[in-house]
Amino acid sequence: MSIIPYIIPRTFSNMRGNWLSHLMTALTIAFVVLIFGLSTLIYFNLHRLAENYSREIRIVTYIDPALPPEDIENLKAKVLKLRGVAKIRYITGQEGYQRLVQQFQDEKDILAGLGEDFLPPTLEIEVTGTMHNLERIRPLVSELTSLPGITDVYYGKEWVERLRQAADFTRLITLAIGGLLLLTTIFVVSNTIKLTIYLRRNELETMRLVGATNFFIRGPFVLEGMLQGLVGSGLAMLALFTLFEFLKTQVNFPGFIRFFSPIFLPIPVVTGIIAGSIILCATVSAFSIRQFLRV
Amino acid sequence: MPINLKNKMDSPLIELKHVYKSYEQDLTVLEDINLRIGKGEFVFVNGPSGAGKTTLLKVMLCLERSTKGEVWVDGINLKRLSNYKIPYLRRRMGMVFQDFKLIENLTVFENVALAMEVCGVKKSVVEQKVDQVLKSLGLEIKKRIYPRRLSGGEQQRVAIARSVVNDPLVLLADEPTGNLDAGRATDIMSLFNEISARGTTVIFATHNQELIRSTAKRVIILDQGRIVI
Repeated sequence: MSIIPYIIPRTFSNMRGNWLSHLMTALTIAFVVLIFGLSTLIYFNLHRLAENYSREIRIVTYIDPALPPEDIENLKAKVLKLRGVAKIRYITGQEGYQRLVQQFQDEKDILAGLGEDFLPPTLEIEVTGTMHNLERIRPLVSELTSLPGITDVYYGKEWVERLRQAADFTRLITLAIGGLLLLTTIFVVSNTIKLTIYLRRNELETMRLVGATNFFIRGPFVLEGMLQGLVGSGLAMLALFTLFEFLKTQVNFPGFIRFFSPIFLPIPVVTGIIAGSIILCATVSAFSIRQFLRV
Repeated sequence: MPINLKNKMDSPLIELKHVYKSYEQDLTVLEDINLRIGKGEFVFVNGPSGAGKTTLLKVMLCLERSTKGEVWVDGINLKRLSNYKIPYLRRRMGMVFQDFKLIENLTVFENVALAMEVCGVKKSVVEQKVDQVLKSLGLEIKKRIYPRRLSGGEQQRVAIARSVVNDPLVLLADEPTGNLDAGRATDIMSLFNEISARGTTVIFATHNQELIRSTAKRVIILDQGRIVI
């Protein structure tokens, strides 16, 4: 003997009888989950971008143009001996200028009036794998700065830090939206359940009179909540994916992230968001009906 | 076959010992009720409106808990019955109300089947038993109809079908003829007599003296929450 075969058809028949309110609830959940998903997607990609950028950190040191060639050789030897330095490449001012010419092929006017020797010579330093981290690279930068003949050191610190800050800020926003999702779901789902209970109060009373257990009465409501969570979050993920695919083809990323290809949320994250929505809606449904389950 | 009341009373199906029910300190609905009802007995509970008839039935079905005293049903002390076990007690008791308490969006068949579904009875058994009960009450051709399309008498028969489909030990009826005209009330009364003849204990609350006078059954008269006879 089991009441499960009776609970499932009852759930669908209840939802059919009150479809408009269930649809509105599912759409509200979809809207909130969409905002949460969007925020998670932005955080996820910013974090990934910052990680990628950190991995590609290169140090560029500017060298005093007046430095004699033998001092330059000494300097190169000193730099190579520093901890964390994998490879170095010396670029003369003229070579640097040629690189710019190639980069700005279509906008040659930018370089008009600048002589071939306006750039100082530079030393491009590739760091070892363990140095792909801002905290670890700072001591190396200090050592480079203190070396005679080096006028300036550039390593994209500002960009990496800005990306990190943006990622951290987005994470805060995502958490705040997560909280909003929680509150909205509790409010909307519990109100739908209360409305349904009010509309079906006579039916529930009759069920109690004929000996229905709380499980029999509560079961369809919890299943309804789970279905609302599934439909709402499923719709949200579908809409988010469509929006993502559309924006990917429409948006032109600025120069430094031109080659960064944003990716959609990984399957475990999508599954987690859907599963979380289902659990949340089911829990809220179970608690909302609890107060109406008197003996 | 005459009912052997002595044997029935040796082990009553329902027994109330000094039962009180109050809602507030100065609102006592039942006062020192002592009552023994044997298996298979048919008992009328009579009295004016507000005498406590409905509350008495509710106390027996555990819809209300007594404030004081003991209520025993089939050897179970309801005072000690946990909330969790109440549904299982109700499955062994049927109840019929003046306002039928049918579910509007369920058909006649579904309304009756509900009482078996909550017990988790297999669908095939439910279908067979509900058909059998509806047939015995002359409702088989109405099984796919919704309650609002039935007359008052037919609705009450559906409610009776629902209350007996699980073969209860006791059938509690709270003014079941209250909303019916005299002719239909007599039909319903005959149904209760048939149910009682099959061995089910029937406790029938009514303020209708005519109905009581037409049969020779045990009558308990309540007035202001007390048993006067």
